Order: sequence, then structure tokens, then C-alpha cells
Amino acid sequence: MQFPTEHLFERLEQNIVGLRREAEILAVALATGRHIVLEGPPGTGKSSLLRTLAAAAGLQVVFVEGNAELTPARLLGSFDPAMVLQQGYQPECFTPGPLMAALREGALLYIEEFNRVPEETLNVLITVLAEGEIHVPRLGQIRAGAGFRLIAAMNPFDAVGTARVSQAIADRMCRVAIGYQDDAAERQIVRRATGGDEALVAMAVALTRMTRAHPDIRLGSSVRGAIDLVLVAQGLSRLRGEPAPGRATLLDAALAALSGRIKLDEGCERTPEAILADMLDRLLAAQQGEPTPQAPPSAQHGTGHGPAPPAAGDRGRMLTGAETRAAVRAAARRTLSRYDLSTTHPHFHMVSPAVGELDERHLVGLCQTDPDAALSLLCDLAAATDPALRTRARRLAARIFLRLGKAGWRWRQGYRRLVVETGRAEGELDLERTLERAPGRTVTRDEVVTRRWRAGARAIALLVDYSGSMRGQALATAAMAAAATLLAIDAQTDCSIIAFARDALVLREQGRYRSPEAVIDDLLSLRGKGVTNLAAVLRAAAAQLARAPRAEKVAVLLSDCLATAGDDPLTALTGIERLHVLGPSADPEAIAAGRRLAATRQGHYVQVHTAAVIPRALATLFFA
Amino acid sequence: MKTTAAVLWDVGKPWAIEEVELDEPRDGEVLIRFVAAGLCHSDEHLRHGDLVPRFPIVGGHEGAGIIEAVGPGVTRVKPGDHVVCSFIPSCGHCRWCSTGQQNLCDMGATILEGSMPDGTFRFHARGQDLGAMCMLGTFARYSVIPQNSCVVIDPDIPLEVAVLVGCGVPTGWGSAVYAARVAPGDTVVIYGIGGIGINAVQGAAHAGARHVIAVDPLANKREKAEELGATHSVATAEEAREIAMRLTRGVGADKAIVTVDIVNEEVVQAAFDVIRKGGTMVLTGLADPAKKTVHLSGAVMTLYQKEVRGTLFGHSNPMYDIRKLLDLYRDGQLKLDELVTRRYRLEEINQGYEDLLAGKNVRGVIIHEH
Ligand SMILES: [Zn+2]
Ligand SMILES: [Zn+2]
Repeated sequence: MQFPTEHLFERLEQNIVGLRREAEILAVALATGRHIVLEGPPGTGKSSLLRTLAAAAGLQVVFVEGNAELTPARLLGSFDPAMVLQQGYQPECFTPGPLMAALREGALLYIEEFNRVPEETLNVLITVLAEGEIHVPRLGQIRAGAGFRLIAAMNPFDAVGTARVSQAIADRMCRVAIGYQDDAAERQIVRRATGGDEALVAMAVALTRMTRAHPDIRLGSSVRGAIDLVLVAQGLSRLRGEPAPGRATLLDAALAALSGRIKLDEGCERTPEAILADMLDRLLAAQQGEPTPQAPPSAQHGTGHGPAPPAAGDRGRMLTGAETRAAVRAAARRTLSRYDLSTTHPHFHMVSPAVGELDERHLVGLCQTDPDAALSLLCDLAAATDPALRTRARRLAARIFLRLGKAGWRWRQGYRRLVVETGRAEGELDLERTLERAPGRTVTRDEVVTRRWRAGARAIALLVDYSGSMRGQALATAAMAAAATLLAIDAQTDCSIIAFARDALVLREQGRYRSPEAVIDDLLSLRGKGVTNLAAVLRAAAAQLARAPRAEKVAVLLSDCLATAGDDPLTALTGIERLHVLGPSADPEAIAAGRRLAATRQGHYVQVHTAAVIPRALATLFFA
Repeated sequence: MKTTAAVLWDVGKPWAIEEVELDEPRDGEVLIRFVAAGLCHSDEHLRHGDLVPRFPIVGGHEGAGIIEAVGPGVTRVKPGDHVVCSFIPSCGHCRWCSTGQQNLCDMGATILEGSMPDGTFRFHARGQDLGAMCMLGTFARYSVIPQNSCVVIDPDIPLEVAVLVGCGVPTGWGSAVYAARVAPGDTVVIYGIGGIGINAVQGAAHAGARHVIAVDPLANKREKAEELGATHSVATAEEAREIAMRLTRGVGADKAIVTVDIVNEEVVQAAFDVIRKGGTMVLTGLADPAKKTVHLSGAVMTLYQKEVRGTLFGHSNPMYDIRKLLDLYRDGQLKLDELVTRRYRLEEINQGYEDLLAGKNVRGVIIHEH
């Protein structure tokens, strides 16, 4: 491709609103032969930007949708079995896949939803990126044409089936982040697409943007939602004979355009309809200059009641959904004064010199020199009375724990194995082996050799003890364990996170999405309280693990394992196939109890003195 | 300096938002920048003539803010301090202050007059002196107030929450804990769940009451009461009496607390009837001072040894109790965030009181814009 000129961008601007900066980077990266990851939420114009740029620059593009079914053979191409049987392995019997087509023609290979592509397929791409060619058995060496580039698009908020793109791939690509465009640009896009009047366009864009900031919404709507909203509202108001769309019309249009596009957070008890109606009313009220009513925190999740009363008796209960939210909110009321924080943490005044202030750089620096002190301080800051400090600390905590939690997962690639099977209809045909089994004659069904990538599906329940004095260090250990476990989630591994004292609070349910940030935030609200009911949490774990019927059911218990309430934990292990114990306590009695418990379910006992050792410990347990 | 304030010019007139002149602080006085002000019913009582102040007056007696400047001789606060205003000043050395009854401090004599203790005024407009409700006038963005009205609090507590502990919270909480002396196991009936009653509910629950029966005709108030600690909530005094009798096997409630917005004979009679022998009835709500609202059978009072008590500020000592309540909030035991139904701009004050009278708000709060 030619080095981009001003003329190119002038042509681009006829089709694309804004994104000038991103277009420049993309164009230069392409011109200089770079492979690129385009990262951004859906509907931010990633693919139209690339299409327009490629068309303007006269480049050919091969489009592929990334998903779990994109096997190496589908990406690269394969021999047609019928033709091979007739003619043998001739090059014309090879049906090229998109990768082969792009390589041969020196085109751009555009893979959407890149983070959903299986790891073995990514490995094929690594070879191509690293060596500029690929060897296909019985076909030979295929060199990449001069213009070949890989463009990978992905949505960073997408956690469904997301095998995190490996470092080896990331290391060979440039990254261009495309965020939502600003208010003015989005209005322009909507105006261009609909020709709607200014007030309606502004309203639609404002409402759409609100969906991205709402606390109960995990994934808001793209600008496409605003476009649909305007078109439907215009049509409806014409049909109903209104001079301008009224509230009812706007609401109907908003529901049609947005309710299917937004994804709610797990545990949110409200419907998308209710949330949208509420946002629309707030927007209309704001336009009429009315104040925004401030709902009290308890009303936000629509329960209207305080936490459920503690269970009668010692059996303990399993709380989920709204009950868990209420319990977490109740726990989050206990806050710490600056005086309290300064007497516990020698670094407090350096990290928070004044009310509302958090010196992130100082804290991150402290993480390097004294991680235990830093993490323990951070966890306590997350409970500061000072609301501004508390909010900042919580945001930072989620970031730091997730970053540190990643440390263990470097080498988890290759957990899936290629298995070759005979007489099964699943997977891809292994032509060569099939023919070997039946040389020169018709193959019977039982002789067909197939191969498929199989991973041992696994369900993990992380059980975090928050009884006793849960502050600083202990809390850091818990948050780190949760972060590391949540990072292990992929297409084959899912997890639930359960905190427990007397009752078991399911913070993340097996198989249901909740952002790692939200789970860590919940954990940081749980300041120690109450008795240790191991039996209750083990039963809760079994209930969660049962949701993944075909997976190996693994529980990881972070506790001193000294039950002070409930039944004997050894009687509550049904439904758990493997139990590992992470022991934070150095008490010999606690260590013995932990070992005993782990041994009953073929698990390991790992002593965890500090939060820092957690990620490696978990990586060893999960993937050894 | 000039500032903006909500002023009552006469009984029955709406709140007028206008620019007023504010003097420098004099001896023992401070200039405060209000961050938040509570919409307490007492200010509205002024407008309706249930309490008769000197007009014109700048309203507002629940306030929290930051000290901007201090006058001569000020020792209790300094510029930059975060302060909750007590609606009753406490000098610290009068007979009442020195005997643990700061709520009765002699300096409170002019709180309805709205003048400073020396009889002069700091607010002026249209060529007239303006009083300041309780010497505070928290419906002004800035005010000059006595240092004796200032309770310094930790700066990490949000002022828009702390504002509530200047009047309504200690009055309600103290009505149960101090005035009614609720004890563990008691059955308590609370009449009227507004900004004061809801905190009487919290106080009774904290003091260990076994049954807390909240009486309010509005469903949203009853729901809130149950959220914050009431074990039962009913719409009428009659239902409350039935429940109290059933729960106590006919003996009667141990304590009754009257926190309705305007006290009348009926509610006083109901509260007097619901308590047991030797029980206590506490009168916290207000009414027109000229009206006689307590007509009770002296013989019943004598023969059943019933006790009837009035309480100002819930028998609380502002300098101690305001800070204590904020510590309880910090520890998650006292709920304040849940009390605020809605926030308003100063310009929306008439709307705010309309909502209060319509029973929409447990507490409305003005957030001052600076
Ligand atoms: Zn008041
Ligand atoms: Zn005094």
C-alpha cells in the first residue's frame, strides 16, 4: 500500500464521521507492513473503518468471523476427501480457507471477534506472523504474498468464550483502540443516517450514551441503537399523528431500539424495560430543568428492604442474586476513619495526603517495594468513610488485583489436547489416517479416523472465608484469589465465587457473567464477621458446580478450615470431585485441618502466607 | 458581602429567593459557607404560623458547611473546619450546659427571634434587618453564626449526609434512647414517620426494643420504617394499639413517642392510652404554642403512674451526640443515606416543602451551589 496522503483521509471523511486519529494510525500501520489488533466495543465502526480504508487504498480484504468453531482447518483450508479418494493428494483437491486465500493473494485477513478464536487456531496464525509462511502437509510451503496483513478486531468487554489472546500473538501486532465517539460525533452519525431533527437526535444519542454508564448495565448500546431509536420514533409519531414524539412514543421506540442491545449485569433484579423507562424519564425531566431525584442506595436494586435476617439455627443459607447484593451492601456500611487508617498503616498519609486524595503512583510504587503493605492498605482504603477516596481505592484495587492475578497464567496455553479417535462422527476427518487403515478399498464407518481439540471442561468454585477479623492482609489474599480464579475463565473453565461466614454468599454464580471488577468490589465490602460454617459453603459449592454437569467439579477453599458452626464439613462434600485448600493461617491445628479436608477429595493443601503467592499457587493447582 | 437566601417575609407567604447583604462576623462569630441544608418541618411551621418567629427571617436550621473566616475571640473553630450546625447553641458554662443538658442552653433564647445573642442581625435586605432561623439561616449560601452553634466534625464524612445530624436525627434518636429511655425488650410505639420519627425508630432499635411499632398513614413511610428497624408498621393509632396489646398480652406498650408533624389531642390521647402502667409517653412533635394539645385524665395518670415527658432535641447534648451519631454512621450502625429521599437546589425550596407536605419525602436536602 502507498503511504497514506491527505487525499486518502478526505475520501475517508465522506464515509466516516470522526475517527481521524484512528484512521491515520491504521493507515500508517498498514503502509509500513504491521499487523493490527483493532480493539473496541461493538458498533464503534471498526469494520467500516477498515473496509473504507481498504477500498480507498485499493487493498483486498478477506473477512472471517471468529468463533469457537474456527478450527485450524477451517481457517487454512483442507483437502476435499471425495476428490482425494479419486485423484490422490493433488493441489487442486485442496479447498483453500480464508487464510490461504489471503496469503496467496497478499490480501488483508480481517478476523472479527478475534478473542473467540480457539487457541490452536491462534497458534497457526503465530507461525504465519513469525515466519511469513506456513507448511501444509502434502501441499507444501505457502509463502505470504507481499501485501498480507492480519487485522484482528475484538471487543474488550466480551468475556464470553474469551481465550485471552496470547502474548506471542500480541507481541507481533500493533494495537489501535477505538472507543465510543464523543457526543457531537455520534449526533452527526445519527443525523446522517436518519435525517432526524436535532432535538430527537440529541435525545436518542443522550439516552444511548446513558446506557453505557448505567451501573446495572454491563454492555451499553452502540450508536446503532440511537439510529434505530430515531427512525422508530419518527415512524411511530407519524403513525399516531403526533406533531413530535411524546413520552409514550419515545419509550416504545427506546424499548424497540435499545432493550435488546443492552446487557444487564448479573444479579440485577430490574428488567431492561424498567431501566430504560427510568432513564428516559430522567432525561425528559432534565430537559425540563427539573432536578434529578436521587434514589437512596437501597432503592437502586429495587429490593427496598435491608439484608435478610440471619438464618435461624446453624445450618447456614446460600444467598444469591438480590439477597447477596443486600448482604454486601449492608457489609459495605462499615467504614474506616482517616484516624483509624493512619494508626494501622504507616504509609497512609503518603498515599492519601488529604481528604478525597489517592496518590496512585505512590501506592503502585509501594506495590513494588512492599506488596503486602500496599495491598493491605489498598483493601482498607476501599472501606474508607471518605466517599471519594473509597471510590478511587476500589477502582484501583480491581485494576491492581487483576493485573497481579494474571501473573500465574502465562503458560496455560496448550491445555487443550488434539485427540484422534476412530469410529466417531465428531470433529474433523483425518483423511491420511483413515486411508492408511483401509488402503485401496472403501472405508467403513467404523474405520473413519477423526480428530478434535478436546479440553477437560472444568468448573471451579472458589470459597472465600470472611469470618473472623477480615481486614487488610486477609482481604487482599481473598481479592487476589478471586482475581486469579476469574482470569482462569475460558471456554472450558468456568467458576463461581462464594464468600462465607455463617451463610454462603454467592458473589458470582457458575455459568453466569459478572465482571471481575464487580466481584472484587463485593469482596472488598465484606469485612470479617461471624462464625465459620464450612459445611454450608461446601454445600453451596456443590450446588453451583452441579450447574456444569459435564465438567470436572473442583472446589478451592481459602480458609483456616476450623469450622465453628454447622455440620462436620466432611459430611458436606457430596458433588465436589476435587477439593484444594489454600491455608492462610500458620496455626498447626489449622494446617492439619486443611490437609485433612483436601486429602478427602484428592486435592492439595497450599500454604499461602501472602497475597502475592496466590496466583502461582492457583496456576499450579489448576494446570499442573 | 452579598449572598443568596430563602426568606420568609410574612406568615403564609412562599419562600422568596433573593440576594441579601451579610455582615462580617463579630465577636465569637464565624462566616460559614453552607454546603447542605435540611428541609425540616419546623421551618415550614414558621410559614404556616404554627410557630411564630419575628419576620422577615432567613429560614433553615439544619446546616453543614465549611468555616470561611472567624471573628475576634473565636477559639472553638478555625477556617477550613468542617462543621455541622446545632440548632441550639451551647455556651458550655450556663447552668444547663454545665449539667449535661446542652439542649437547654440559655443562649437558645433567641432562636425564633433569629437575632444574634446580643440582639443584632447579620442579614439585611430591602432596608430591613433579617433574622436567621435558630441564629443559623442555613437556607443561605453563606451565613454568620455563633461559634457556639458549630460542632466540628471529621472532614472525611460527606457534609451532605452530616447535615442530617443537626436536628432531625438526634431529636428522633434521642427521643427514643434518652427521653423515652427505651430498654432492651421494650415494646415501643412511634407515631408519625417523618424526619424525626424515622430516627426514633432507629434509636429504639439500637436501644434493644423487642417490638418497634411505627404508625403512619402513608405506605412509603411505613416501608421505610420497616427498612430501618421497625418490627411492625400500621396506618392508624387504633391498629397500633391492637398490636401493642396483643404483643404485650394486654399490658400495653412500655414507651410511646409522638413525632407527628403537628401534634393534636387525638394523637396525645392515643399515645397516653397505649402505654402500660408506669409507662412513658414522650412528646417530641410541635404545634402552635397557643394551642393546648395535652388534655389527659389526671386520675389515670396518677393511678397508673404514667409518665408524660416533653423533649427538646431528644434530650441530646449537641457537642457530644452529633459526633457520636456520625461515628455510628461511620460504623454502619446508623443509616443516614437512606433517609434522603430527594435533593434540591436552593431555588427549588418551595417544591421541596410541597413534597414534604405531600408526604413524598422522608428527608429532603438542599445542596447549595457555589
Ligand atoms: Zn429541625
Ligand atoms: Zn449553655
